[in-house]
Amino acid sequence: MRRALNWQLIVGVALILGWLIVGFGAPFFSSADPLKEHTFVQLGTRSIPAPFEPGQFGYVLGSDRQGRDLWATVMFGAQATFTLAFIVLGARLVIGVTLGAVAGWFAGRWIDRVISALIDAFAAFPTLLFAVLWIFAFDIRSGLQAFAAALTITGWWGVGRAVRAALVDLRGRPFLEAARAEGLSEFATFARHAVPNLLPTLAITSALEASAILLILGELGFLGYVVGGGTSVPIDDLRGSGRAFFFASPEWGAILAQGRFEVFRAPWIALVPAAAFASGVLAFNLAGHGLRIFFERAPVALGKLLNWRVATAVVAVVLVFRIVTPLVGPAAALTSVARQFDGGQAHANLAYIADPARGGRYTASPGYKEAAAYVADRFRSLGLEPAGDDGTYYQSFKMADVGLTAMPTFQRVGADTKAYRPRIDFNESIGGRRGGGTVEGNIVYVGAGNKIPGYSDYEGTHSQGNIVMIAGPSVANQDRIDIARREGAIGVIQVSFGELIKPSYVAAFEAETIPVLTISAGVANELIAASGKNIVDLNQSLIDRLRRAQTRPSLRQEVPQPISFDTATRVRFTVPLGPIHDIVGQNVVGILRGGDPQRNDKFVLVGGHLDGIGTDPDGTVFPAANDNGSGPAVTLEIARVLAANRSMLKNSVIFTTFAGEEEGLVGSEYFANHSLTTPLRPSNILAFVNLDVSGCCGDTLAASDESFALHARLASAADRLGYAFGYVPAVGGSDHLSYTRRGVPAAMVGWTEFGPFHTTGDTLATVTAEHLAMAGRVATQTILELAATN
Amino acid sequence: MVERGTATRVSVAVLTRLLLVILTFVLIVVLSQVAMVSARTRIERTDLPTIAGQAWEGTQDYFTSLASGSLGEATSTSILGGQRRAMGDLLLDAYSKSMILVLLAIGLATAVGILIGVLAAATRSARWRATLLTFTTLTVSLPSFLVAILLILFGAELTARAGIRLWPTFGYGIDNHLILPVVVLALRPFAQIASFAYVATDEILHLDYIRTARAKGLVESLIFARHALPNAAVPIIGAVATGLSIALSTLPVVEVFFSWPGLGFALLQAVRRFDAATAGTLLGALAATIAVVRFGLDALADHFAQRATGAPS
Repeated sequence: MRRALNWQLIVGVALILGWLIVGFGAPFFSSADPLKEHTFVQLGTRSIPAPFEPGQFGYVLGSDRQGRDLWATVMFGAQATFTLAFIVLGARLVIGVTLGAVAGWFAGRWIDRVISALIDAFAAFPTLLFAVLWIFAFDIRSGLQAFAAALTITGWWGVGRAVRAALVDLRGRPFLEAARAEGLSEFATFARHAVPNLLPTLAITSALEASAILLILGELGFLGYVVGGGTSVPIDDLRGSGRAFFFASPEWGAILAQGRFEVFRAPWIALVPAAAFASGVLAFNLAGHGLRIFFERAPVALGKLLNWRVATAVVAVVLVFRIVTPLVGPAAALTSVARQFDGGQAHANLAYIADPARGGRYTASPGYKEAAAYVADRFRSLGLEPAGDDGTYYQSFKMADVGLTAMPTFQRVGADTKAYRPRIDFNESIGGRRGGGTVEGNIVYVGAGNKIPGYSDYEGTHSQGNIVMIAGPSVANQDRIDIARREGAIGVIQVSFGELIKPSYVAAFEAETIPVLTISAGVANELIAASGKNIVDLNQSLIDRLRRAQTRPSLRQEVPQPISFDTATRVRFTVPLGPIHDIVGQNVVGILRGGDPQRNDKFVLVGGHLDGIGTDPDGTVFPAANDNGSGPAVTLEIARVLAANRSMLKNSVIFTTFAGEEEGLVGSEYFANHSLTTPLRPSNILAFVNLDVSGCCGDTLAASDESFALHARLASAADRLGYAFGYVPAVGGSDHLSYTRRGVPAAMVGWTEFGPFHTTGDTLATVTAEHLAMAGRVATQTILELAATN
Repeated sequence: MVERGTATRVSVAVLTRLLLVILTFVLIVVLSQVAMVSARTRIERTDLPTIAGQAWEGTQDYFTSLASGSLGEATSTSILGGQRRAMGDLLLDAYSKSMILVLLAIGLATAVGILIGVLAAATRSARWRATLLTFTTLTVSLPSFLVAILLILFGAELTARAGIRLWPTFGYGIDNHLILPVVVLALRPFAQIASFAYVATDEILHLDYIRTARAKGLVESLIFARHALPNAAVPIIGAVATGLSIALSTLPVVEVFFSWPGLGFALLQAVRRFDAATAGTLLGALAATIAVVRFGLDALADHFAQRATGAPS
């Protein structure tokens, strides 16, 4: 037995155990935080930006460009990476053993031929590329499961081949014949006598497979395919041309992904995870070879390990680990504080903010100012430090504004006249090429309104002086309103296949504009009724055509015929737009100072926009309760909880409510820009928890996933509180974008369903205290984990 | 009679293998369609029957096009305009550029691997055995990206310190641009082949018939060439096949890192566009190559196995 123990086995197993202990034990014995960012170090008057070299400023293995400690990331990353590798291994074993066993047991029969052919075919597939294909198929943003599924599909055959070979080897053995002779059924013979003899093969194969899985995970990471997919954000303004890419999950592949681009400037960022991968690959390889030598020298009856007691023990250990992990460590102690968040109190805040008397809180309106004063009063009574202009809570800024002077109108004219209802049948669309005015003309249906070299949806129609109707997918990211204008159209009607919502306006226009409406599919069908066609079918045929053009390999370039047509339907519509004018928006800002002088100049930002879409010229109020009275209501309650526990805070917390979000994130952009020369500048913000649409609807709390790191934090906070937590694919369009594009981890915390936003139905009644409480507790827990733990 | 029987048997074997190559190709085209269609429709959250329908449609289109003698076009991002390129062109261009790398790497790995493995076995020293096997185990576990980074850093350091420029770091060229990618690709296959060559030769050198040959007074080099090597060939060929799989699997890493515009590079771009036809064609070409080379190596191994069991003299 001692002779059978060889150095390969000992070193391999020791390395594996070492990583497992480091990875799974890290939360228990290390206070290092793999997600903590530290973009520069102040040294006297000099500020030294990350990445920091190994050994510098206490970073043993250096840091990455966001200043995250590479040792901490590798340590915590071991958990994520090994977990993923073991999940893949498990899945490969299940499929591989099943198919391999069937093939091996029935060797030579048709089923064996089919499986063997499949194994041979899959063995010829280039693993890495094939895996990338499937990662996209399973949606890279869905995280672990996409990788697990993809790597299982590409790699099950290895186990299958090994198991088949081992069984074929066993087949003629006398003990199997003896078992059969004893009258055991075929299955019993297999289960009792063949399976135990397969175990050595399985152990060796598993180790070698694990090595291969780690290697391919490393290669995938190196190519930039990481769990969660990373985040791409626009870096300049809303119309953004440039984009920046962030990888943020603590996993070896993700560190490697960002390191690849810095090989010359900061080689350690790539070398550290690459070496970690190499050690893991080596460990499993050694263990595999070691096991082979071991079993050759000391054939042990591993079959004895196959019993219920061992299985129960394994399941118990896994379960205990799963249950205990969220309940231990410093973060778990904070849940009692997070639970102090009172949903009823938040709902009471909302009752004032979203009261129809506030008139929908259009930025700079009297209703908005009342709501802002309410927030500022609460900040004052909670003892928050004012961080606005001149020692007040208010931060004022000028912004451009444009609005309707009267309700827009839309009617069919001629013999069969009919007036349509704004907000129900149609809506105006304003900003950019979309301006105000009154137009009258015939409807010309121009499909998707595309025009590119060699093809035009306008061909054969008479758009000159008429009104074009557009419905369908754009093919070239062109401005289709501008194409319509160039084709001589005097107005555009776009068809919406979803619900009509009251739009908000960006007060910036091109030199030449035309009026544009959005109408419902039902109205569109009325307008083109004479053609005998249906707008939904037309739209679908355009989508199908586009898909086929993109997916089928064509022998020659086939240019499809446009499906556009003129109509005799005459319409007239008016968008009564006032002039662009300046208004003064007000952000409300207060600070709760942390108690640690080393850390209280770093901030966690929490808040949401206070403004809404206001009141229509006809007096209809859009109460904007969920979008977004809920955010400020929750923010105020978080402020109350944290103020009551302020002695726990080490970092400081900034509470804000923003103005001008509906008009293009104006308030948060101003806040971020204006803070550049102050201690509140973005590089001092640890994270921004943006509370938007946080009070309704659906039963799953969710956050946007621009920052995988912050999303992971929010998800683990939710886990500690016992809430399910999902993600909404990077939706972008809220205040957190102002910080995401400045490299600060930021996420929008809300629900998987937005509810009746931008309609008159967005009232206090749709928001429940329960929804507010769950969102608020997860936010509070996350802020505490960031600001109150070491 | 006998010869005809052998011929039939050989042609049946060849036919079976040809069928398997075709199966591999068809399977990969179909799976590419399924994968890319579901990647594309994931955005629209479509249901499974729709995905199956669209994948079926795409597969039909693909093979209809193929049956009429054309690979069609590699689509660009735009529906109607944009740059389209004949798929055949793209395939030929990318394929040849990749194969240059792979063939050189495998050639190098095989030559050096066998040489070192056999030489180490010939010394019959226990220290050599331990050194070589430890070295190859370590090398087989070295991920290509780590080797690539280390080599690049080494080159940069050398240029900075001594002003020597050994190799260009990035880019395509049939010159010293080949050095880094080929070396990185060759390293793991080399370790694989060297260790198998060593083990196989070492085992055979301990067999009786070699002792007999020695006893007969044959020159050592003749013993090697006539008796040892042909018998060690079977496991070595197996190692070359494994090495080829390793090299082809790592290929995209090397191509992307060294900006080598080959198959892996083109394929990753196609996947990013969810372009099923291009992905299927390129992957299919690669898989078919692997399958054909595998069968070639199998046949070679059979040949040596027959020689070994046949008359060795």
